[in-house]
Parts: sequence; structure tokens; C-alpha cells
Amino acid sequence: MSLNKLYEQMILEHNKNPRNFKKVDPCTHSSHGHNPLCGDDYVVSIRVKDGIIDDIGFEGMGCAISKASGSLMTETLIGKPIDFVLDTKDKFINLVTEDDAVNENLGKLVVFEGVKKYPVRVKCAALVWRALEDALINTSSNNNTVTTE
Amino acid sequence: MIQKKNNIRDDFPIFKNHPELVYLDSTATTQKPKAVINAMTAFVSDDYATINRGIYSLSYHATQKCLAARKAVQNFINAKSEKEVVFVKGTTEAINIIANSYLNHVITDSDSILLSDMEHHANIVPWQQIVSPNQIKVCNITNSGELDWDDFKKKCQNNPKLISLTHVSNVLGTINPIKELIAYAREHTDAIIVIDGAQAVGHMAVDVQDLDCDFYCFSAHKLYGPTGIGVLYGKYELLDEMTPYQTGGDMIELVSFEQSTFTKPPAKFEAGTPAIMEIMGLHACINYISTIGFKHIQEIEYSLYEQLINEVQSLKDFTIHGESNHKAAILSFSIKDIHPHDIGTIMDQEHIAIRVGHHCAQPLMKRLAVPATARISIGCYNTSEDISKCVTALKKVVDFFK
Ligand SMILES: Cc1ncc(COP(=O)(O)O)c(C=O)c1O
Repeated sequence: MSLNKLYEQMILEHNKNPRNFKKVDPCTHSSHGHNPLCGDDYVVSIRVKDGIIDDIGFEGMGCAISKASGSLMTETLIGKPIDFVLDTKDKFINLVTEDDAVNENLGKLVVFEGVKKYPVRVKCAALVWRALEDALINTSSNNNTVTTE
Repeated sequence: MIQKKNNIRDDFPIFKNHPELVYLDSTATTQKPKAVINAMTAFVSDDYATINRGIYSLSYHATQKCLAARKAVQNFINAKSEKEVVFVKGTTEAINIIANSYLNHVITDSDSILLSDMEHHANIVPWQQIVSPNQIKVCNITNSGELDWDDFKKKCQNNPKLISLTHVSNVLGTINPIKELIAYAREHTDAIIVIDGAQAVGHMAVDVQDLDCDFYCFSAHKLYGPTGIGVLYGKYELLDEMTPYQTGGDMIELVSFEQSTFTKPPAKFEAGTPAIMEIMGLHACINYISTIGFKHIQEIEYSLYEQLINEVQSLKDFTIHGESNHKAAILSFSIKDIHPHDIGTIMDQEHIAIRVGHHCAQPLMKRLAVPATARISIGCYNTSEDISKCVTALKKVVDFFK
């Protein structure tokens, strides 16, 4: 299998120049995503205003896949309504785990489709999305931690 | 001198079944030679029965074979008696036994224990279950990845109840001067001394009497033997004092519902039917290693390590973690701006198996100020070609992320 299927040019580029690589301040939601196996570690912070993602950022460190995932996730979700965000999250997780995933409406995020063929790397791609999910769903407590293994 | 052909490789079926495989993760676990596989298969096909209990001859012979294995271990590490050799699941279980059956019974709130910054989680977490965090003192390491002697001496002044150190670091490759450290500790403390030998026994001769440690722990699977079996060596007086960690069959003298009395070591620590087939594998791997000899094993491993060190010089932004002058053939490294996980995936595409991650040594990662490292480790079956392929692949990694 070709490595370029995993490390698409777009992924390499976003790894080098991650977008929204920042802490959103003030934020309404945040969560800490940690992958104990390889040490990937990010905080996703979000400001929701009138049911819309007003601003979103991620900060931390990890491999190329996880960093590019944070970059493309934040780029895709900024300015979008919460319903869209949660739906996209489910579609993304499907994209990187299910063989028969439908990838409509995922836009640039389809570059992560190749990850499916590298089972040990799926959690790298999913990490920031799990943190996002945790931040939005567990609204009551800020600064939660989720881990993927 | 680098030999082109390594005949030892032919002893390992995995390389026939995966001709393309470049296996450089022997620190995690070693591949198995035919001698070990065959010994285990032969035992199960021809001689299998329970041990210690059976009155029939098949069981008697199986019992004799286990005794022979225990004696082989005794000779392998030069223990005074085979009664000092306890069969356990591996290093992790051995350390857990010492923590629960020894330390737990002797430690008081005012006591401390001494570990080091380069310990595997197996030599940290079991102690944490017995003592509180402020009772654990940690010996620093130097920037080259050696134990800091001055700090060791300073921390011996507390007269720790127990000192537990790794013989060889699974990340840095450092071979600690265990004999000298123990001699110093004996002179200046009353500590009981535990050595984690997981990374030593496959690469160098170990003489527990010469080292004068109280306990020494290792796993067969890092010694070209099977998983599920390892050794807790302990001085007999200590083992005799200790209460068992697990109880049940095979380790009792008399049982009534009012009271049971325990047998003597090592049986006292071997409750239940043991891993008989794996014990045969352990015996076979000791024989296998003895036939090759540590001199030959070291010649192979060190010449390949030297080749590796020379060839990685050409790589840009390459940092080596652990530059002691006394090292096993283990190379941990980072490449600037490339996460170890990405290195591992690309190497895997080239059929090169290396380890990436924190190597079960998170405190050490913190000390090195890295989230994780990549690690190349060499075994007696590796070849010069393995090293060249590995370095070529590393160049590819660097180019890929340039
Ligand atoms: C230094 C060290 N200690 C302990 C262990 C644990 O050995 P096991 O997993 O066989 O119990 C290892 C294995 O990785 C090790 O490298």
C-alpha cells in the first residue's frame, strides 16, 4: 500500500502549518484529549454563540495525523451550527473506521479515508474529534479529559 | 568486523516465514529459535503431565524435567541453590511479589525506598501500591543517560528500606554498574536490593552471587524463550521469611479448614499448576544461549550497533537518547519535527519493526523532555543488512516529511 494514501499531501501540509492552532479565549467549552499509547495530547477549545461555533482552536502536540486532523477539523467546523458539527463528527468517525462509510458532505476531511487501512493510526485521527465531542456533550464540567486507546 | 552472513538467523523460523522482515524490537520481546519451539512441542507431544502430584511415571518424569529446568536457571545466574529460583510469569510478577510479600510486611511510615529515573513502569507501579509517594526517592540520571553517582550516594544517606534498579535501561540502553552500586549500598545502608534484569539476561552473563543482590527478576520472552514464564531469584533466607503472595494448591504442607501451613520456597510462591510447557521453553532457551555463548552474542550485537551508530551520523536533525559508554545494543532517538508514531508507520511500510512510544517509562520521557521516542534494538539474529535497510528507511522518513 502506498504511504501517500495515508499521508496525503494535504495532511502533510496541515501538519506543517496547522490552522487554528490556538486556545480560544474566552471559550464556552473545552476538553483535553490524550492518547496514552503514543503521547498525542491536545486541548480543544470552543466558543459557542447562538448555537453556532463562533471560534474553535486546538493546542498541544502529537503525530502528523493527529495534528492535521485538528487543523482540518477546526477549519471545517468554524461558523457551523452545533447540529452540523455533531453530525460531521459521526460521519468522520465512520469514515476512518467503517469499510462502507458514506463520505458525502465531508469536504476536505475525506483525505483521512486512508487512515482506515492503518488500524493502529485510527485513534490518532479520531483524538481531536473525541475531545470535541466530550467538550460539547459534557458541557457541565469544563476541562475534561478523554483518552483514546 | 561485520559478518555478512549470520548463521544464527537460520535458527529462527519467523525469518523464513517473513523473509522481508527486519526485526529490530528485541527489547520488547525476542523471536524464538527452533530449539525452543521444538522443546515445547516435544514436551507436550511426548511427556506432558502435571508435576509434583502424580504417582504415575509420566508425571514423575515431567516433575524431573521441571527440576532440571530450575537447576539450569540456577546455573545460568549462578544462584547458590535451585531453591532460590522461583518460577513466575515474568519480571512484572516477580516485582509484584517482592512488593507484596516482602516490602509490604517490613515498611513503616518513616521508611523510604529508592528507585531511579530510568525505571520501567514494572519497577515503579508495584511499589506505589505499597508506599506513599513521598516515601519514594528517585535517583537522578545524567545527561548522557547514566545513573548519577553523586545523587545515588546522597539518597543512600536516608538509609532506604529497599533499593530497586534496572540492570540495563530498556530505553537508554545504559548498563548500570550494578555491582559497584550494590557494594556502595551495602556499605552505607541496610537496604534490601532488587535488580530488574529484564534487559540484561539475554545479552550478558549474570552472576547473582557476585553481584550480591537480594532479588533479581527476569522474563524468558526477552531471552529467546516463551512468554508466560520468568524468574524471581531471591536469597533463600529472605524467601523463607516472606509470606506467599498467592495461595492455593501446590504450596501447602497441611490444609484443614482451621488452618493451612505453607511449604518452603520456591514452592511457597508457586501456587497452582505452573506453566509447565513454558518452563520447558525456558530451559531450552538457556541451553540455546549457552551454546552460542555471550561472547559471540555480544560480538554480533556490538558490531551491528557500531554500524548503526556510524550510519545514522548522516541523518539530519537526529538526536540520540542515551550516550553512556556502557550500553547494550539499544538506540532510542528522535528526529526533529517528526513524531515517533509517524516514523514507526513509515518504517513498518518497509517491513522494519521498531518500537515507538514511551516504552513503559513515562517518568524517563519526562526527564528527556520528549513525549515519546523511537527505538531500535538489536538481537543475536540481526544482520548488517538489517541495519542498512533500517538506516535507508530512516532517510526515507526524513525525506518524506522534509
Ligand atoms: C527494564 C524492564 N523491566 C521490566 C519489564 C517487564 O517485563 P515483562 O513485561 O516481561 O514482565 C520490561 C519489559 O519491557 C523491561 O524492559
